[in-house]
Amino acid sequence: MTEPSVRLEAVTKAFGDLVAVRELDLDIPQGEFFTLLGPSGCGKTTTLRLVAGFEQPTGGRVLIEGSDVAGMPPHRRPTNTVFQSYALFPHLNVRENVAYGLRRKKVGGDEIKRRVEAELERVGMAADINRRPNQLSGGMQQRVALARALVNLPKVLLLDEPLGALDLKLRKGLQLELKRIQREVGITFVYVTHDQEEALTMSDRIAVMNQGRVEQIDAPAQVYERPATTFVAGFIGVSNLMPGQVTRASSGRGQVRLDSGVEFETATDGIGSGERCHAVVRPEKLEITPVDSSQGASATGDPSSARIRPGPTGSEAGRAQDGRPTIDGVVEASVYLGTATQIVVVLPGDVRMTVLVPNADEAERARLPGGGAPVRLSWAPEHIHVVRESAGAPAPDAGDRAPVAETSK
Amino acid sequence: MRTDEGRIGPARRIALALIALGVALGMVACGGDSGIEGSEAESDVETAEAQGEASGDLFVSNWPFYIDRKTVPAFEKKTGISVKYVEDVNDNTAFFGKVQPLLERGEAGGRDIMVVTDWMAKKMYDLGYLQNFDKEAVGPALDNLIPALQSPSFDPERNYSLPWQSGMTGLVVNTAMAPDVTSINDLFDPKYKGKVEMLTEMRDTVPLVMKASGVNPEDATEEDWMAAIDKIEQAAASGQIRRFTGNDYTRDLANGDAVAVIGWSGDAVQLQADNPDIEFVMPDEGCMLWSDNMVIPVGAPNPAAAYEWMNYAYEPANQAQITNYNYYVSPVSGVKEILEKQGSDAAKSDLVFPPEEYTADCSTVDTPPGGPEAEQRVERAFQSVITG
Amino acid sequence: MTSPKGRDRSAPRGALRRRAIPYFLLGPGLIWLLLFFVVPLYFMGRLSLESGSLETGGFEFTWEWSNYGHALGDYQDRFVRSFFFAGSATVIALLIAYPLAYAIAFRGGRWKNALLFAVVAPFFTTYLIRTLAWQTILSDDSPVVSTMQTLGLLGDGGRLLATDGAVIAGLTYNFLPFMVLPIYASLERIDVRLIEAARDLYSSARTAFWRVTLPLSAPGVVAGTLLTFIPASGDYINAEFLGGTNQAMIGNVIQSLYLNLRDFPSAAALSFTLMAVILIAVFIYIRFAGSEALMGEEAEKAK
Repeated sequence: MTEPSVRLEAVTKAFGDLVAVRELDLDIPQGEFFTLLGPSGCGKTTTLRLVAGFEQPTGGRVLIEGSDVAGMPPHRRPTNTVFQSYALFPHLNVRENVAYGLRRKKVGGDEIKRRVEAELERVGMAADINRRPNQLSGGMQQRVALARALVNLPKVLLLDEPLGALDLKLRKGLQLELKRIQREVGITFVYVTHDQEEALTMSDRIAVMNQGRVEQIDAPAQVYERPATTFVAGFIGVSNLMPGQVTRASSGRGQVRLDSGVEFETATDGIGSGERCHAVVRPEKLEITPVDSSQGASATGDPSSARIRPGPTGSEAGRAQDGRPTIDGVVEASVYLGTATQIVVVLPGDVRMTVLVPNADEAERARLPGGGAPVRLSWAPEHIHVVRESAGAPAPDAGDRAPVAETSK
Repeated sequence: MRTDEGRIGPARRIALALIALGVALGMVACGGDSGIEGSEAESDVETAEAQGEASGDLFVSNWPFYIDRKTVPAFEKKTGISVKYVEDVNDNTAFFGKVQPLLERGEAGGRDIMVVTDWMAKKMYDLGYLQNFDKEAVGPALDNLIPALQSPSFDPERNYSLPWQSGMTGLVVNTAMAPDVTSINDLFDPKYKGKVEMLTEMRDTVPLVMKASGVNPEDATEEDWMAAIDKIEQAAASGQIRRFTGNDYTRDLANGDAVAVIGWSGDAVQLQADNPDIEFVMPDEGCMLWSDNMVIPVGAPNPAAAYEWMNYAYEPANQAQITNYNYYVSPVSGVKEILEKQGSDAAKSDLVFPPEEYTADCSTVDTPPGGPEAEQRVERAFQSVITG
Repeated sequence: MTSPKGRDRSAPRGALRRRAIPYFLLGPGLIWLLLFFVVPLYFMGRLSLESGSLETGGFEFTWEWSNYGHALGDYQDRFVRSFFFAGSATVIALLIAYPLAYAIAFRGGRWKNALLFAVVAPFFTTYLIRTLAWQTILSDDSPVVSTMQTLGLLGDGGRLLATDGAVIAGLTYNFLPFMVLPIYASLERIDVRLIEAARDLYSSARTAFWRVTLPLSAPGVVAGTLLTFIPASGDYINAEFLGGTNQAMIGNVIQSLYLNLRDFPSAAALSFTLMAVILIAVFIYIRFAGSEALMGEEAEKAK
């Protein structure tokens, strides 16, 4: 199938002065589980509604299976939607909710019965076929909503934060189930969420959106390991960003000098010499070691006086004996998270870094530095990555990112 | 009092609704064993004695727009009696519905005088709800009563009723639209189909129709009443009669919805002010004459003050003041001369001072014969026609 | 009694008290109902079985069932007419009110409150005055009538006032807000995403309306039709002022029996009959409308 299932060409949607989606280009191949990820108000739900036909673009084109759907109302589009609020018809029972679309398409009675029952079987709701939506739990309602959409065999299934209203445990279970069902039916899924973990778990590809624009489209691992912008880096995972500058760049690789003085060589991905950038290291890739208090000024515990000290081999600033870059700081807080311990370290220039240490060994955990202790962070050269500064505001820090339901307008 | 009521029609309807509620609650109040009991009366009617000097408080219930503004203060000033003058009589039956539960218990809600139309006065008297006058106390007033009203059939000796004002029921016609209407029979002319109206007051409407058929209401039998009602019913069913109205026929005449109706003399004077074409037409067969009478209910707290009020109103000078305001037929002798002296237009009006030959063919009896049960049968038949 | 039993008994007593609380809370309402509904109803019922008359010694309780026979026999045509008028007014009010309520609920935007106010505004004038205004509007010499005659909608001798149409129009006008408000309330509550879901599931705007919006607003329609039909059936003001000689409704008859004939037993019997007929009609309607509105799809499936 060469034709993409969904294609957006320079799509813009403005509500009066408010531009929800700007110049958006997307290609979603047939059968892909594609996720639109971003914070509230980033335009992801609007994008979904443009595909569903609930909104008409103010600029650009939307193509489904190669044909322009401009002006086509929702009921003529080969798409179906699973709504965040489920939107099950309260006056109809489960069977009639699921049969609703097939009845409108004038499918024969026997076939409707067969397909409805099969679909409910697939989502595990066959036993509740005669119940009313208000007699079902949230998770059950969402299964029915999914069946109601899937039973129509749409070319594209649009899911608008379908698990947003469910509790964590139920959500995890349904994530896996959704993925299974998607593989089973082979329908293109366009999935909207603000939950980065959900996106990483389920998606074939993720488009991270910010202020109506796509910041990065990539496979989950790429988005996580090699974020393209500070926004993506911050939104996906914990923002361990150290400001700096590219001092030398040629053919994709270059020399980066952080504001703290540490220098290293890395892939620069098109960032030119002299440009500002941020270096990203994921928390679980950082290694933390206590610093002997007799060894230097950092022992005072004042992060502002912490500075790069020569390693034991002495020749190069910020480079450990095994060639790993290092940087010194002071522990601000240490939080026990169950599977891991999260330590926040303050670096010179008031840069905060989060370190995640797996709780593999109880004795080792006991030796971890506590608040106020001087520490040294180090990382493998291949785990650092430089990103361009985002155009808009930086992503909120992980801690502030409460999973709020997104509204499209 | 009937003039001007087109304007207060709505208030009257509200009153009816409230009264319906009142009646319902009244029935609850005296529900006990057998709901409402009427009284076999006449045997033991008391006389309202005028004891001592008239003083204290006086409570008068009358129809709206029936008195000028100066009479009450002047009376209070002269006698030292404090007057509570309430315009709470809008409709005989409705007022009856309102006070009946009280009267049944021998009270009148503090009222010393009520003003009701002839037949209602008789009905109340027969039910034992009224007191006889102390003839001595009311003597001065009776002396001034015009001869024509001295012995009506329902109260030949004026034992319990004294007219406040009188009037005529006849034709009220838009002479531009219906120039040839001179008889009640003309109301049945197909030419005026749908433009003719009659009163919901049975004792006005039915006797006039009987007169038009050559039956004298004073000699009419129950069959005559029923025949007249049948005639009206046919006209109603065929659409000849547009509708049955209370005072609101004045609106229909003013709007042009009706061109000839059975109506009251005072209303015609009022309507003429706005439309000179509208006139009171004395039917060829004659009119119905009626009075609204002052009566003293059982339980009246201050009869002495009531007689003082009656005597005051029957002084020609005081009466002229009232008549000049409401343009109804005055029951008091000597009023015309006073008004003539004052140069009032009322003195020249046949409607205020009808010459004897003008009302020669008019009738005063307006209740079906044969006792209460027969009356009820006729009433029922008539009500069935007007709520067809 | 200081045995352990004493303590045991205190526990259920506390539970008893707790269980009694709802009844205490219901108390005032029940007393109200008893005083102002049940008691009057009892006396009305009693009264409707009395005989006699005010003039001949009052009324006496005699199990006078013939009052009911007369009520039904003598006034049957006016019963039928009342329900015809009230039913027509209800249907017309529904046809006007639904689109109006729909427009306010879904297209009202920031004008919603102003529009709702406009619907209720006539209530600031007395019922009677409003009806009297219609008397003037529909009057024979009014511009409305002459315009209709010019347009040929009304014959030359034709009139609007004092016809069935005038009474039905008056009833419709006077009870319209009672239709609009409940329908508006039920439409306003509908989650627009349900309509979007219907559109998404291959329903045109029209189909989505018939299959989703209308069934979901059914409670408002049922409430509105009842709030219109019940008082309209017993109304007498509109027939009185806008009707002629052949438009009297059962309310006019009851009024005449009460106030003019003072035949309280017959009036009570007629009132009771009216109440019973309305109750039965409403019961049937709710059974029918309830299942119809809520089982739309099942009904379709059965086809």
